[in-house]
Amino acid sequence: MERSSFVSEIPIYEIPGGIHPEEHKTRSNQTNIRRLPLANELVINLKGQAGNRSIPIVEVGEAVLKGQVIAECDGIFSAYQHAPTSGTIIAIEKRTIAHPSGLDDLCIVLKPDGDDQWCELTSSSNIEEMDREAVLAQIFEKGVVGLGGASFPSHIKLKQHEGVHTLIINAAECEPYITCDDKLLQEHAKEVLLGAEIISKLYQDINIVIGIEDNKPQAIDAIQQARKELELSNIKLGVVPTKYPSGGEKQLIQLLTGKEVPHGKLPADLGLIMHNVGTCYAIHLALTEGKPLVERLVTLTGDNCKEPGNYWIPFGTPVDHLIKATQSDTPKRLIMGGPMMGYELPHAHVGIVKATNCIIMSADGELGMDQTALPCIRCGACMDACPASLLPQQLYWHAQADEFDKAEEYDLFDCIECGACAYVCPSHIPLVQHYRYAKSTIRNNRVEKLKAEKARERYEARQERLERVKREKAERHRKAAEARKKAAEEAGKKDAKKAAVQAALARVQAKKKAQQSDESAADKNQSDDNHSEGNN
Amino acid sequence: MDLITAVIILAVLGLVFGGLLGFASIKFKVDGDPIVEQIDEILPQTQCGQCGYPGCKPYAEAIANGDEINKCPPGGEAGVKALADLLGREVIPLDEERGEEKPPSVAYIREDECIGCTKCIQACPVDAILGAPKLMHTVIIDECTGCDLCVEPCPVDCIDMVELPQTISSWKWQQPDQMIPVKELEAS
Amino acid sequence: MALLSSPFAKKTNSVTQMMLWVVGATLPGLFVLMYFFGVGVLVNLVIACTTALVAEALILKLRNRPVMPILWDGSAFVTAWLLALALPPLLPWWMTVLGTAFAIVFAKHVYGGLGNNIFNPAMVGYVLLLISFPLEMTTWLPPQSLAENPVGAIEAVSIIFTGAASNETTIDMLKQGVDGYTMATPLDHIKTELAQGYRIPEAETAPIIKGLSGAGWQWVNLAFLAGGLVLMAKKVIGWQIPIAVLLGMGLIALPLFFANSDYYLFPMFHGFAGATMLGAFFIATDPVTASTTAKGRWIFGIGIGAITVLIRTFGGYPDAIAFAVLLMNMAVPMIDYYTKPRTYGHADKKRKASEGVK
Repeated sequence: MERSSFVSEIPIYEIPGGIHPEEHKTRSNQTNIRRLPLANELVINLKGQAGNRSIPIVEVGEAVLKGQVIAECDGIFSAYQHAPTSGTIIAIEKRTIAHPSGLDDLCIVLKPDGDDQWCELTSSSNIEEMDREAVLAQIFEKGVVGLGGASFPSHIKLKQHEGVHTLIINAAECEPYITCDDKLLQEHAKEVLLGAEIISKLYQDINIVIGIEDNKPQAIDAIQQARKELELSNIKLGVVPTKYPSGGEKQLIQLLTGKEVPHGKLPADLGLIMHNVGTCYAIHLALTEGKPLVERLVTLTGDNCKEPGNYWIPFGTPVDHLIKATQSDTPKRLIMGGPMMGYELPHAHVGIVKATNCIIMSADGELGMDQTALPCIRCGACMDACPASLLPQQLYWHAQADEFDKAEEYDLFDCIECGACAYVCPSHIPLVQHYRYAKSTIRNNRVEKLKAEKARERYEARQERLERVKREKAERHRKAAEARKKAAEEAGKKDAKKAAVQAALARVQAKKKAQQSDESAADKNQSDDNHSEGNN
Repeated sequence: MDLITAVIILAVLGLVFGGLLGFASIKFKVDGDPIVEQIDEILPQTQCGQCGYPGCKPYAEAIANGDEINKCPPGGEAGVKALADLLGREVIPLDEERGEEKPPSVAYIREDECIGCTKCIQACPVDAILGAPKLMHTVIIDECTGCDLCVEPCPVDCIDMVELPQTISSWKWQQPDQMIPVKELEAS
Repeated sequence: MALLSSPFAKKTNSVTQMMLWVVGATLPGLFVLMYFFGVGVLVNLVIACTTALVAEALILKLRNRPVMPILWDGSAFVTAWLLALALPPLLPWWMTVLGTAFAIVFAKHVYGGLGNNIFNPAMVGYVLLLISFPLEMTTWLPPQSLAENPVGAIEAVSIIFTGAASNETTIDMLKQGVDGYTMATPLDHIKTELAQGYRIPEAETAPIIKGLSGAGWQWVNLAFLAGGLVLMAKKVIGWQIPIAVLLGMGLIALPLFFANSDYYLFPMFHGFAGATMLGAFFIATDPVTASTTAKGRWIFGIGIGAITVLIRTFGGYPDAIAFAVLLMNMAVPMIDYYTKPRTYGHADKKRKASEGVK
């Protein structure tokens, strides 16, 4: 593929590892951006971004206009969703969503009325006068999320502003097949740069660097042209050699700055913030025209795609509609995203989401992955390809043996799942799937551990309570018994007293009696004496 | 003479090493009996009593005292394996008499049938049922361990055990099968 | 249908391909060996490879593993191939069979098959034979150009299978050089002469010592070097281990040579003598048993080179690549453990430790 001869305006550093897969990009970047007719129904997934599910605020049967809010943020960590076109809500139900699991989740189903009529748009007349909070609020309310792939809500990423000194616009687009960022720059470089300007206004003294691979000469020319016309000389072009995965956030940072994002930290901790070109474009639309994010540029490609190219596609458009509208053959495997990091769809009736940058309608044998896995021969090709300097063969060894603690020791969670290792593996081992298995099992185990912990606490609390109740009961019984005893004793004592009293009385009486008898005796004696005296 | 020297040397050695061992046993003494805690850590804390003990902790104590490690169906084969690893015992299959490993589930009370007898509340080992006499009861799903213990006492049989559905957040990747051609997978 | 995980794109490479490249790259060396030592080398190859495939198939069957996919990965074939290249050209057939079968069954499958073995199977087979049959294993023919009685194809086959040549020549006659003396390999020759009190310059006057490292042998090594460089260029093997092996040899041989060139060989001689190039490029680079970390590969290679020269110089065996490889194989788990690369975004462990001390 053609390489740009443009010399990078900033020094470029190296990243370890990486691969050079066949690019397959010319297939989709030769035609202009187009539109397809609207689908019969749009299936809008409420979990269409990183974070939590959005909360639907429309009812079944309700008529909505294009751009109207249909689901809002859960208040913690999710994004607004807007109607991608005007029409009627016909269902809010579980449908298969765009996710590697192929599971169902809550979706809003919208039947377009064909008018595609916008609701009233609130655009800000003067961005210059808006303060930081207002700009962030606008970005939030217009449902803008990162369009590079992770669809992380943009306003959250933009919140931290202490010490940020460089804004990196990610235009690397290193993955094969995908050309939507390339085409967006070729046709809308100005809007992208204006979006970057809006972001840069949120920070003080910020440099803007556009990171782009040298396999996009036309996009590089378009950026230069736009930069000249807009007189934005503060924007620098960092042209990196084409190598997958140079477009990974951590990798592009390393290429452009030579720094590594420390483990467990964010790029912002290095004073860096990165946004995708698509996100810049969306932010520009949201602020200057007040347009919410309701569609995105998607690359339709693959051997079975008869009209490959880039299309503006409203969110929720089912993939089978895209297959029909491009008169494509039924794909052998349907991949959402690129061939390195995308995921397979279980069937075609799945609506596209904000993260969907590419649909590959592959033909039989096109992707070269249907091979038997053989034993690992420890050749180390994966190690040489790993951009994170991990030891993939060790990770695999421990993951397949369920030795998760060992796998974590080998920094399993620093794996970015780029797939370079599995791409080069001569034994065709699905390495990434092994890592994902290990990671998701570890995560699930942690959740279960927490649950068990809670159950243990509740059990112990209950045991303690039962114990306490028992103790208290016993205590009560004891006290009652004591009381009874006391009462009994008391009663006994009373008796004793009575007895004593009686005894005393008796004694007294006895005494009295005795006295009386004594007296009488004495009287008698006396009388006797008297008698004797008298007798003398 | 030689005999005496030998005896003296042995006696001195005995004293020295005896002293050392005695010193070590005091110096490096392990406090408490953490093995019960470690076993309890592995048990799933369902508190279901399927093991024949009134809860996980009592069973942990029993294991520490030599009881079999295969009496916990909710812990499953993985639990037996973890216990075997910890205790250096043989991995043995689950004791079938105690029940079988079931997918995670929670109790669900059909509330309009509930008569408010509080029997289930008393049976619940983790206080996950809410209610008052003569009033309808309900299960706090997040706290329920799926132990089944409330089902039996209910006089009107209004409690069901419901399998927890797989959700996007509980879903996990499967381990790829080794040495099985991908093409075969596809056919199935 | 189970959904597969990304990546969906796959490089078109395979273990079989790698193994074929290894075999292909030994061809120049094989031809040179055949040119100097006759057709016996080829006979050894055929015997060893047949034995390996049969042994592998049988043991896979015994272990209830799928036979065909694993048999065709070519690893057993390569083990036998490399072992045969290291064997003397007229070794009795049953010794070749024994060595190969032992390599496949004990060195490989007893440990769990491909990918799980600690020791290089070919070298285990070689060392088993070397210590069991030291005489036969050190009986090399003189290069045919120097031989009094060059070995024909029929004689070679006859000696390998029956122990005697078809005409009345004996092995001892075949071993005679043009000067009438029995000939050993250059390394063996030097060792014997030194033991008899000669100095190196005196020992080097023999016709077997010619050029870099002895008649015939220098060309064998050059041919293996050429094949090895192709493997490197094709990235079938990493470049670190072979370079490290040669470096390790130099590290020991050079100081010794400068200390006393009367008793210690010129490093270049070590580099092109015996099994050096075969060992450095084809044996030490066996991925399963070599170290896999970047730093570890260097340590592993340097260790092999150093041990080889040490045993050649001070030990009882004229050549020592096999011992050196096995000794370093033993150390691989430890080397790998201590040479873990620093993961992206992680602090240097050593630095962290020293900061901790502060």
